[in-house]
Amino acid sequence: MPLYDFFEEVRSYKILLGIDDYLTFLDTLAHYATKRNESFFEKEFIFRLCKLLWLKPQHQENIFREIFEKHWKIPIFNDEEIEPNETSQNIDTENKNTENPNQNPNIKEPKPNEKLNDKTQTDKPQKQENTNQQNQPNETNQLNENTKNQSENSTSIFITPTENNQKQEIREIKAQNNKFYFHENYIPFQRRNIGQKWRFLKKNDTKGESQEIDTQKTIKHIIKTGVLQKVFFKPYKNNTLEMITLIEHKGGMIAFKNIALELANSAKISAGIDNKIFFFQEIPHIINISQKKGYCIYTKDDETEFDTLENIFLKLKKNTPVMIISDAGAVSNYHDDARIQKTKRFLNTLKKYTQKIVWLNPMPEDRRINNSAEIIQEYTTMYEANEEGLKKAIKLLRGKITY
Amino acid sequence: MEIKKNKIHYTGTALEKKIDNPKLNAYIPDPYLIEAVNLALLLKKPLLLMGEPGCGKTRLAEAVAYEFYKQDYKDHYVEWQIKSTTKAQDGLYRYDALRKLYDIQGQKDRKVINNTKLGAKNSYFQRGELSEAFFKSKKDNPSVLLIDEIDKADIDFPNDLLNELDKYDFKVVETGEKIPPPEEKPLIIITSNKEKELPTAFLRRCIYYYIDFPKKEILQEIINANYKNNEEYEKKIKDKAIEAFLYLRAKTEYAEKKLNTSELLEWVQVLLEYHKNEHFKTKVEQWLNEENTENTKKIPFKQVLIKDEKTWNEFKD
Repeated sequence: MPLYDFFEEVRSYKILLGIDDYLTFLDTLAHYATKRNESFFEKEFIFRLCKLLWLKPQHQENIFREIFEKHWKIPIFNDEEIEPNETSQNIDTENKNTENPNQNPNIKEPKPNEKLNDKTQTDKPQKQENTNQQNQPNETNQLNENTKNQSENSTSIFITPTENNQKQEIREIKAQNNKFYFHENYIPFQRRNIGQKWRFLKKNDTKGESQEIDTQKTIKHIIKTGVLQKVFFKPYKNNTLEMITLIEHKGGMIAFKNIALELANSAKISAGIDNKIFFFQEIPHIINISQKKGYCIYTKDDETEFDTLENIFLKLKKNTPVMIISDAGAVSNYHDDARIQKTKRFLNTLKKYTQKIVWLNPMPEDRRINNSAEIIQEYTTMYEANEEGLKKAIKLLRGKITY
Repeated sequence: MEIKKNKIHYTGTALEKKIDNPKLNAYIPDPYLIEAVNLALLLKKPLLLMGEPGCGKTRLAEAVAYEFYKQDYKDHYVEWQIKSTTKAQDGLYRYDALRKLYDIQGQKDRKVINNTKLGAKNSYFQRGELSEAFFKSKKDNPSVLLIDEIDKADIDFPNDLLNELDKYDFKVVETGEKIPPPEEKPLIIITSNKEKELPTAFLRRCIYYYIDFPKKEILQEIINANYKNNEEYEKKIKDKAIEAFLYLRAKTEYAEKKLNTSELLEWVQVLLEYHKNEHFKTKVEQWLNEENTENTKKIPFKQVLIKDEKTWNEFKD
């Protein structure tokens, strides 16, 4: 099993690992080898060790398993990767495996020195090997085929040299042919990162019981009276900011609903913002029933409860930040004049209540050409719904100018 | 990295049955969990445990400490319960600056209380849980520290612990004193309910293990270890309870709160106790004689098992 290739592929799936993680794995394996007094390990043991050391909570085990299985089947050197100076190694491994059929060896753990020796040994007889290869092509091919057949059950862990450009090229070609793994929890940002960004949007105020020592007040009192008579307490500072998030949740936005909710909820969870989430389709429509008049937005995503924009803002302070998450027609990708006009009117109404309005569009900026979104973005500030876009949006909601 | 051989090794056998003194319930870990604990001991890295609530994350630390030190385990075991207001500094030390100020004032005014140890560096210094674990950890006898529910704290909390988890030493800012690293690094077991995401830099320093829901055989083992009853009806209750529990769990796979081992243990205890009670005996007996296990309506004392409204409405009598 080409362990380093496995490690590199694991890294390519956003599993952040450093070279020390790789070395720790090798050291641990070496430790177990000396402890057990044998260098053969079961496949599942290797997998569990990799999992314990490399897999982290946000990663999916099934993807990790798939990558492992794929690499486990690969012998150290298959016929595509074979290089003249490695033939002797391949044969050696083959011989070792066939010598001990009863042991059913799965993994061979090479010692660091052994690895170096192997390299120096193979460098010397390179020419001789070349001639041998020319003379006996059938034998080598046969051996390679054998290696392929045996790879299912018997492979050795070996660190492939990274400096080798040729191998790198082969790997790249192989990577192009590889299938892609779809991560079911895929979102274009990390929850933690967006949580930290939301923290910049705050309005700290003291509320609740007095539990924290008010050092300044206590010291001032000591200076005044010359003696510590009393300790003053103050309530903890909390984020008391209120904001509104309007999410378009039907039509082209169905695919982005979870991302939008994730964004909005992270403001509540990570930054303690009182983020009121509302839903609408395409653009909020106007209703005129006895008690409720104005733009209708849904308080529940199943559209069973609603309120009007006017009613909502009655309970809020002026200039409460508003974030709209919608594609503005970029998904359907056509020019809808009615939608544009309705949106324009809605934004004008919204501007009566607040100046802090930002629009996050889950579609990339280059998809906002020749469709409704291209015009709508001129009436408001529109950013892409990714980490960078959110950063700019929050800056704008704080009242700072962004470009 | 140099890996030194460990003299201490976790086997998971010490709590194979319930113990009365000290009062500890039986704890039967998964063989792979034992492997993870030993790996954490070997690499001197914290072990991060995740899993459904009630799967036994918190209890592992106590079980490991008990196996290592038996009756004296409390001398080597430290629990740090994390709350939403907990700061990393609290785990290192607390310095009573106000008391010091008060004492200085008292001395100045010649109203000193006789016992005041003014000037003594440590009189206002109180060890936090992390430094307590460092202090208790002696050569070849690592202490066991449980950092329970780390995800309850602020999202920056794990980042503030990075240095301490790397170097195991810290400085008392108020006195300038440097607390040296312990003779042996303690075994740190961290639990999380995944309510908040943990930073990558923190995760890199940990060994991560997800405690899966145990298989039927292991469940039986856990129940038998905790309730050693030999009466025929008691065996029947235990078997039937496991069967009904597994059926309910499968039915509530997507529920807000999944049924887990801790609930099963409590439920079996309730069933065994109430079977002795004349008033409830018939109810338990009726259910025991019910042949159809899929009839969830007749399951007695479901409230011990079901914790969310939706599931409750589905299975209520």
